[in-house]
Amino acid sequence: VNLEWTNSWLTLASNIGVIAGIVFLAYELQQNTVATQLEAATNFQASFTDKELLIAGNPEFADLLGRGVKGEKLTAEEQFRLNAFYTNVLRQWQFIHFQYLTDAIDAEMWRGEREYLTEVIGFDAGLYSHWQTNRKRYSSQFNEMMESITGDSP
Amino acid sequence: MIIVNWDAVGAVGEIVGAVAVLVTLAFLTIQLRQNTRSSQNASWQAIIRQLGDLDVLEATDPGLSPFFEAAVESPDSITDAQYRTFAKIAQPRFGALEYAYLANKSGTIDSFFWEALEPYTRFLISKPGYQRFWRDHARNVYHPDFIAFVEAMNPNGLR
Repeated sequence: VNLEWTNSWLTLASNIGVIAGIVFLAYELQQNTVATQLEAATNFQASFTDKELLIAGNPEFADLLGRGVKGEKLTAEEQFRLNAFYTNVLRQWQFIHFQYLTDAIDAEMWRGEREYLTEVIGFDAGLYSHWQTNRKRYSSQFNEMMESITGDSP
Repeated sequence: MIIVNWDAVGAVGEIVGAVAVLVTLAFLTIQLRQNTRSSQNASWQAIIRQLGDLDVLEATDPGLSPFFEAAVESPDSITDAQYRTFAKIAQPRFGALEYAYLANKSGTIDSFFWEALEPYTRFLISKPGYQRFWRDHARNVYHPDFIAFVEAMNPNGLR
């Protein structure tokens, strides 16, 4: 038995094994990252589904929201309630926008969310007015993005 | 007949192997970083959800709506029972902000994310109702670092 020859092949095999192990680990990590990204995106969608179900199941609030959409005059209490709801809505968008800025979701996914936000801000006078009046509740990055949609000045 | 220089082949093989290990480790590092980011996002989503649940409760619960605005803007005008209900909302609301603040401070949440909640914290603590809650309860409930942070926002109204 040529021990030197055998030793060389065993060393080569073990090195290949180490590299294969690391590559497998990296692949698994990548899969895990993708899965977590998808989970975050799913949670984001689920939060909107929750809101839609809430609105559908609460006619009194649906009516209030409808009056907010039209920009009707509201009592202080009604406006206060809507502001709480609007804060929640815009905070969700702020979150998904941050995910885009930090490369946690891809540009195409963000493009869809931005389109949706543009559409909602376009027809919901109450939400738009809330953001204009309460900008200081949100981050500067988010406000800049909103300004790029609405054309408002900083 | 070709004579193979196995020593040279072995040396080249070692170099190729070393480069492959370095490249793989670099890739692994990038993946780990992305994975960490994804975990931070999941943690952040949990905070957003907690705050969101409270917002929705405040906006839609028929038992809260009639007095909640008064609780925030003029807390002395509401009953003790209403104030206690308000405090039950204020406590987890600041609790979620406390968690975000401490997570950012310890580096488990990016400052980028915390910057989104700092203005909201500032907004809450500017309101008389939350100031009253803070004076009554904060020292028994929150972390000293978070207490110091919030009180620095409003040094005259919270102690």
